[in-house]
Amino acid sequence: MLNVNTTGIVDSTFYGAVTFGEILTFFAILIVAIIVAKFVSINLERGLKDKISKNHLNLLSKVVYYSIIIIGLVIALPKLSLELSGLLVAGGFLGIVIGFAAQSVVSNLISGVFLIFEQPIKIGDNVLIGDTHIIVEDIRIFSTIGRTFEGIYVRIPNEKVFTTNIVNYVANVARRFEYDVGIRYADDADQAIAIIRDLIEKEPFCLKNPGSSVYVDALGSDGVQIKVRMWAPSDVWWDVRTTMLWRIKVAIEAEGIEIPFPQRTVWFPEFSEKSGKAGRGNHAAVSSLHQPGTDMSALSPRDVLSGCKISGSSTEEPDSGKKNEDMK
Amino acid sequence: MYGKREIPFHYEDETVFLQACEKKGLLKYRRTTSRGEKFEKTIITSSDALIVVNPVEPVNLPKKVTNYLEIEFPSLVIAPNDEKTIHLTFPIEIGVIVFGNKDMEAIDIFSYCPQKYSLYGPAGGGIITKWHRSNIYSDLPSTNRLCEGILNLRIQNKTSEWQNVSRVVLDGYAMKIYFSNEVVRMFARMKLMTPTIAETEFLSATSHRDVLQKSIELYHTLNIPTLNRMYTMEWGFD
Repeated sequence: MLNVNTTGIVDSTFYGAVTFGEILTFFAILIVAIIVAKFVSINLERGLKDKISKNHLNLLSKVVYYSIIIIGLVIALPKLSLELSGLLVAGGFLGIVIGFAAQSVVSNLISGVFLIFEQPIKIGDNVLIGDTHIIVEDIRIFSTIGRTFEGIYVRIPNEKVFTTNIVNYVANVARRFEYDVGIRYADDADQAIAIIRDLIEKEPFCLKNPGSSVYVDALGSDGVQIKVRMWAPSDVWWDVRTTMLWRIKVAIEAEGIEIPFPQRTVWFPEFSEKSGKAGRGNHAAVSSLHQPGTDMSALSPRDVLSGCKISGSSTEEPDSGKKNEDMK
Repeated sequence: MYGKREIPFHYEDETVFLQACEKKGLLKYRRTTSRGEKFEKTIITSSDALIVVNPVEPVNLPKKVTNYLEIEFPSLVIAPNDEKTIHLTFPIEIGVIVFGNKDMEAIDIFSYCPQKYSLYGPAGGGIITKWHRSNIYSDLPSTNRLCEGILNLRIQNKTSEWQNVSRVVLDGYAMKIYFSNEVVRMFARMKLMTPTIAETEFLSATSHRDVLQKSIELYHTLNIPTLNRMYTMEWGFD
C-alpha cells in the first residue's frame, strides 16, 4: 500500500520560513477572493440592471470586483511572511522601474482611470474618436472597445482616446438635421412649405420645441430650394432622418408639386441667321424636336444626330454646319 | 373597457376589439382597432393569469424615449404668494397588463391620442418630454375618457413677484393615475420657487377614493421608490 506523508510535504519549507502549506493557503485565499469578486459583481449587475445606467453599473461592478481581490490579496500576503510596509518600499522602486519600462502601459492605465471618472464617452454611445467612428461597447482599464457600423471589432488604447478629439453624437438628448428639397419654379413654394410643416407636425419624434424651420433658401439654377430643419431625440434621430425625406417627397408630389430635374436651355446661332431673329428660331426648332407630342421615332437618326451636332457647335461660327458637312 | 378580467376575456366597442383566449394550448392576446391596427401576443403561464386594462403613464408611445410628460397651456399669470387649482387635459395611453405568479407585465399599450415629443431645456442637459397641448379649465371639462384625462393642477406661487406660467413638466415615475367609468384623472402640485425654478409632484386622490379607482402603473414594476418624488423644473415654466 502506498503511504504518502502529506503532513510532511505541507510542513516542509519552500523558502525562508514559508512552508508549502502557507503557499497553498495564499493561493486558496486568492482563488476564493476571485470567485467571491466574480460572484458579487455578476449578481450586482443582475440586481441593478434596470435601476441604474449601464455605464454606472459597469463602473460599480469593476470597482467592487477589484476591491474584493485587493482585500483578498491583503489577507493572503502575510501567509508568505511579507510585510506590507516592506512591500510598499519595494513597490516604490518597482514602480519607478515599471514606469520607465512600461511607459505606454502606465499611460493607458492612467488614461483609463480618468476616462472612467470623467466620462466623455459612455457605453452604447455613438462616437467619433480621431477618425474612427464606433459604438462604445466597453471602457476597460487599458483600452476602449467598440464596434463599427459594419460590425467590426475596434480596440483603441485609452491614451489615444484621452488625448484625441472626441465627437459624441448622443451626448446631448436631442440633435438637429436638415434636408434641401427642390421644387420647380412653376410650383407654389408656400404650399410646399405648408405640406412639409404639416408632415413634421404629425411625426411624433420631430420635436415641438425647438421648432422646425422650413423656408425658401435659394433660387437655384434648376428650381427653388427649400431648406427643412428639424430636431429629434438623439435615441431615434437616425430613424427619423432616414424616413422623413421620402415622406416629404411623396407628400409634396401627391399635391402636384414636382422635384425638378437639372435643365439647360441651348441656343443655336446658325438657325438665327435663317429666321432673322437672333437665337429665337433656333431655340424653337430644337424645342419642337423634344416636345412631348413629337414622335421621335418619325425622325431619322440623321435628324437627331444633326441636332446633336448643332447643339455641340453652338459656340462655333455660323457656317460651322457647312464645315461639318465638308468634313463628311 | 377599464378593469380587471379573468382569462378568457373579450371586449368590443366601436373603436377596439380586445381578446385573450386559449388556442391550441397557448394563451393568445389579440387587439384590433377601427383604424386597422392589429396586435397579437402569445402568453405562456402555468398559473391562473389575470388581465388588467387601465390607463398607464402616457410616456410610452410610439416608442419609449423619456419618462417625462410636458403639458403646455395658454399663458396665465399668478399673483405673489397666491395659489389656484386649474384643470388641464393630458393624453391617455391604455395598458393591458397580465398578472401571474405574483408579478406583472405590460403586454400591450395603445392610445387614441396623437403623439408628440418636445425638448425641455437645452439640448445638452435638458430632457425629452412627451408633449401635450391643453386649454385651461376652471371646472372639470368633459373629455373623451379613452383619449384625454383631466389633471388637477394646484399652482402655488411661493415667490414675491407675479409669475407667468404656461407649462408644467411631470415625472412619469411618480404618476398616480385614477379612473372611473366617466373620467381618468391625476392630481398634481406645482410650486413656483423662483422666477425660473418650479417643483412638481403628484398627489394622492384621498378625497375621491369612493368614486375613483387607482390604476396599476407600469413604472412601479421597476421597484423605484416614488414616495414624495419631485421633479424640479429648472429651465423655466413660461
